[in-house]
Amino acid sequence: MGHGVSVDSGNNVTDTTTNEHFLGLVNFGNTCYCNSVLQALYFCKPFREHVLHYRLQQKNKKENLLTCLADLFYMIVTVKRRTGAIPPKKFISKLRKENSTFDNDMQQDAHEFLNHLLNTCADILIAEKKEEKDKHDKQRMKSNGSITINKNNNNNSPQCNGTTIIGEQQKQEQNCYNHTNPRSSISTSTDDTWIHDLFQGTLVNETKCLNCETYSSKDENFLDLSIDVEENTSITTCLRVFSNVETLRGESKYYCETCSSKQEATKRMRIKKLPRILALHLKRFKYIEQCKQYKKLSYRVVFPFELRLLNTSEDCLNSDRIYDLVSLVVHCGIGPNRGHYIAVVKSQGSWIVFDDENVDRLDPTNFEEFYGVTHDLGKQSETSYILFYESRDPS
Amino acid sequence: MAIACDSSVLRCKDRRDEVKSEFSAREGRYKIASFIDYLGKHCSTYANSLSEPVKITVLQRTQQIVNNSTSQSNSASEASSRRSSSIATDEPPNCSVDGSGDFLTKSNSINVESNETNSCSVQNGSVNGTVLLTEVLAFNVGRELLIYEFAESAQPNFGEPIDHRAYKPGHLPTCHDLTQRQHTNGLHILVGFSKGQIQYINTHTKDQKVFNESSYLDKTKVTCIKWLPSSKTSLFVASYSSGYLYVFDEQIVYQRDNNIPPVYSTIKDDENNFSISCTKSKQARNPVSRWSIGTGSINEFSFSPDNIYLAVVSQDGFLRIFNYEKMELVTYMKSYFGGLLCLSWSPDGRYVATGGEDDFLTIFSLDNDQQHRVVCRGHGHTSWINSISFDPSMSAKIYYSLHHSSLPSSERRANVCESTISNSSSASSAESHDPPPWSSDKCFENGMPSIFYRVVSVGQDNRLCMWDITEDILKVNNKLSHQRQRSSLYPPVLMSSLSNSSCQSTTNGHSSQSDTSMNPTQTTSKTSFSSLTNRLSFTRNSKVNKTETITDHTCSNGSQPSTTTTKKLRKIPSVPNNSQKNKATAVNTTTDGSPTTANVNVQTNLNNNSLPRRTNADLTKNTFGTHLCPKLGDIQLIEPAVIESISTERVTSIIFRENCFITASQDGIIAVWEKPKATKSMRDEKQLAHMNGSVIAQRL
Repeated sequence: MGHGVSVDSGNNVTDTTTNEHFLGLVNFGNTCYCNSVLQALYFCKPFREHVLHYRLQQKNKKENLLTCLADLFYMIVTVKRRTGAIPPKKFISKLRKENSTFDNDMQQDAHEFLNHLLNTCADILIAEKKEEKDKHDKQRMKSNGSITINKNNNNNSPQCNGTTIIGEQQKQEQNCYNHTNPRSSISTSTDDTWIHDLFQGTLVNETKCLNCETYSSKDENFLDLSIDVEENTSITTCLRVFSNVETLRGESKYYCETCSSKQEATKRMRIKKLPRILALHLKRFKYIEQCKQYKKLSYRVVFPFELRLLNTSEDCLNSDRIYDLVSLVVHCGIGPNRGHYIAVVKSQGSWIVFDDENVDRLDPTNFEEFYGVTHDLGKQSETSYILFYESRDPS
Repeated sequence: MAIACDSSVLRCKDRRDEVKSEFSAREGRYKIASFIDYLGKHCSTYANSLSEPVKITVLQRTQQIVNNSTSQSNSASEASSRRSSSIATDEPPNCSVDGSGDFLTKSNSINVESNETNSCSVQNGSVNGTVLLTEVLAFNVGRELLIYEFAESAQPNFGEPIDHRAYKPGHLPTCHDLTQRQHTNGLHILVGFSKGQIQYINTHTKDQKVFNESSYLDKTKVTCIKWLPSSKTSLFVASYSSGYLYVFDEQIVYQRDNNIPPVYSTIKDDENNFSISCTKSKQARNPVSRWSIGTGSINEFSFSPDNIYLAVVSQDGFLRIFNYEKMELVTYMKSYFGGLLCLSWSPDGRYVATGGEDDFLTIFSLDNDQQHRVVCRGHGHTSWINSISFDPSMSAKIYYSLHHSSLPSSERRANVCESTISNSSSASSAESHDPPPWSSDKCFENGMPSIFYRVVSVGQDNRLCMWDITEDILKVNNKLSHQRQRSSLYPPVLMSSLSNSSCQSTTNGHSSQSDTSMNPTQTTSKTSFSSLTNRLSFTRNSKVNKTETITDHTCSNGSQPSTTTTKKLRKIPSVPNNSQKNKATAVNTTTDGSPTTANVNVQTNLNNNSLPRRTNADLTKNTFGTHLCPKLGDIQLIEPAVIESISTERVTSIIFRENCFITASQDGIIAVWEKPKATKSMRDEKQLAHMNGSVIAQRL
């Protein structure tokens, strides 16, 4: 599926829908985590176009999460009425069937769901691509399919800082300079699905051993960035802090190849390649050791409608990218397993709130509420949780 | 790892986020002399539910008072009226908002006696009476508006407000302005509201009026309101979050059809995203004119010190500077990203400082010697900057004379520790009051820099940052920018100003190249843009029209390209006092010398003739990487001399007075910060020398 072409045809799909449909999604028992993410993604236009395009291309396919998503999006696009609500029944049941985590009526973490959705879709696309390629190869001649897939069971290393590093189930992109990276694996261009095309960026993890001064860097791909939040800051500052130089010492010492031992080191993670859609996950749920539970940080973190990133590496080629906020997932309530998720999206210049079945216009001056509160009083708060920024230049 | 990171951050926080009531700068200690904690006193449940930022307005009030029981003089009636109640409105005001409810005045009081005892009254020879100078401070908290009057910054408490109004819920006061017209003691108060109404209060005649009463003109929030600087006019300007700026005449009374939206006719339309309209009506009616500026909310505007220019910052991230009378866009600049929230003019009108959603302070130069350009950005805030102000009384003289050691300026900037107060008397006696403190007389004691600006910003991170803008920041950078110029793209707006500067010694040598180097840059940039356009048109069919305007980055105006270019160029000469001739010739050479540019214009304009003015995204794109929005690495990034956390809530406003500055925070606390003695004493001496027999009294 060459994405270069698909964008154009994707455009045609949406050309018929210049009259945007704003349909709520029925809640099937605490499925607002899912509804909010789906709405936020639906209004990431390139994502929607690709999903709809996928539906056009893949006829008589066996049902998977992506086909269910495509059918749902197609339903929203084609339904006669422009308002109201539709039940995402097929999608939810597929989701619950395939993944035990979501197979209950409990409130789930919206970010976990986003993660699962993007990774699953990418897996599906990779598998399909591979299938197609195998078919193609067989037809031509039996060539040496010497692609080894290193299934890597390593979970996120402590360095990952909570960011979703793809590569547990999929292979990583090949441009890993550092061969010591245990998770690096040989890969081919078949890995580049449109999911990666839209969401994948690259972080460069630069480490300097304080003993031998050896500098090493390795690349890590991400589909979204999980960033720590601090009181009374802006998202820009949170991203800065994310890329601050930190010292690895004590328990988290760094294994230096040159010294062949664990050493103190400095580490910095900066962005080397900015994605087309930048998904920022604010780590508002923090595990508090004393309470043995997660607590919500309702800190006020302001985010602009227009964003550039400052924490890019020197060799970042697209560091000048300018992003527009297109949608966000908002968490309302006190804790991660309680409360409610809603989506706030931008469509044709105005902002719209999707609260399950309910759809409402929103005055942009009301964004104030989603920033968080100045003093964490453990009160009910409606705070931004996942932000979706879309690059103004698609190239 | 995450833990390590957290703790380092926390440590940093401990140091910085301790809320300070006093702090040290190079020139000495600043400390809170007094404060008003309105909410703390009255209602603590308010705190988090306040939606509108607390803003402050200060006016120096002059009142003429005739001695008791004297014979009738010109000012007698005014004086007596003031004595009885000069500002408070005793009767409940009867104006209604939104046609459904009344503005409710909760309480008001006046303390005439305390004012008089606190303030120093001096017999004035020229006017047959006494002139009383006081400061009037207005601020909005929640749905209330409070006005205090006081004489001394060091006054331990403000006493009771002289006016206090509480408005209907849902009609929150958002901004205000005060003025005083000649020969009257009364105040003219303007209040803007969250639903678009504007209230006018005359404290002398007790007149009250409401404009846009039923929101028929605009139902969005009034974001900034100001009387036109000339004290004679009854005109005022109000900006709205709709992106419109209206000019009203307080004295036009237009009762009929009050709720019918006026018909506008456009009198000016600029492709740089602004247009001006007037109301079509036989009778004079409000608004006098309507300016549509950029896209999204206008966040603040301010007139230049000489009252010629109007600077406007908007949510679209642009600072636009207009010649107000001529209704022309003089120049503009773009934030690094996000909306611009505040601005301040330097006292000499040569620079504008802005702050906004990119967390950056941005200094923009309008200096005639240089092209209009971003001089530097400053990073010190960890969230958006809400309010910014130049310190009008901090000059190079005061600043540098406080420190005799000649440290390199970078070190000086870093040195925020308490400085030893050196003898400042020599400096103060040297200069008379007349040349403003920022004037750059080069023959200044032992080669000290003659240019220095102090900028202070406050933000949503609860912090205050002081920025020292030294000569080397302004000058060194200038050279850098001239080197870069040739390689970077920039709109032709800059060309003319560049040509203007050809007479300057700093730019000499480059000026000869400017015309010749212009064309290649133009054409190369054109091709690079068009290739970009091609790529864009492949991927986004719907955007082809818009992207095509990108090629037209020469700011031309549709039908008459070459003439408009010339016109455009002619507007550029901005800040007065440079020779007009020089500009005119420069303009001619530019246009004559670049026929290719003109041709390009014609072509692109043919394509774009039917198109609407360019979108903001296009403007942003065209501006990025130029002097109007340089890339990060292309200009200096400065750090604040002082960073202090001064509140537990976001700080929303800062205003400078002569001996103090006043901050307001979202929790309703208004703090008056006393300036260090060193800077004060110098001015006091100066002031005394200046006052000598003329007007009077104690100022802030």
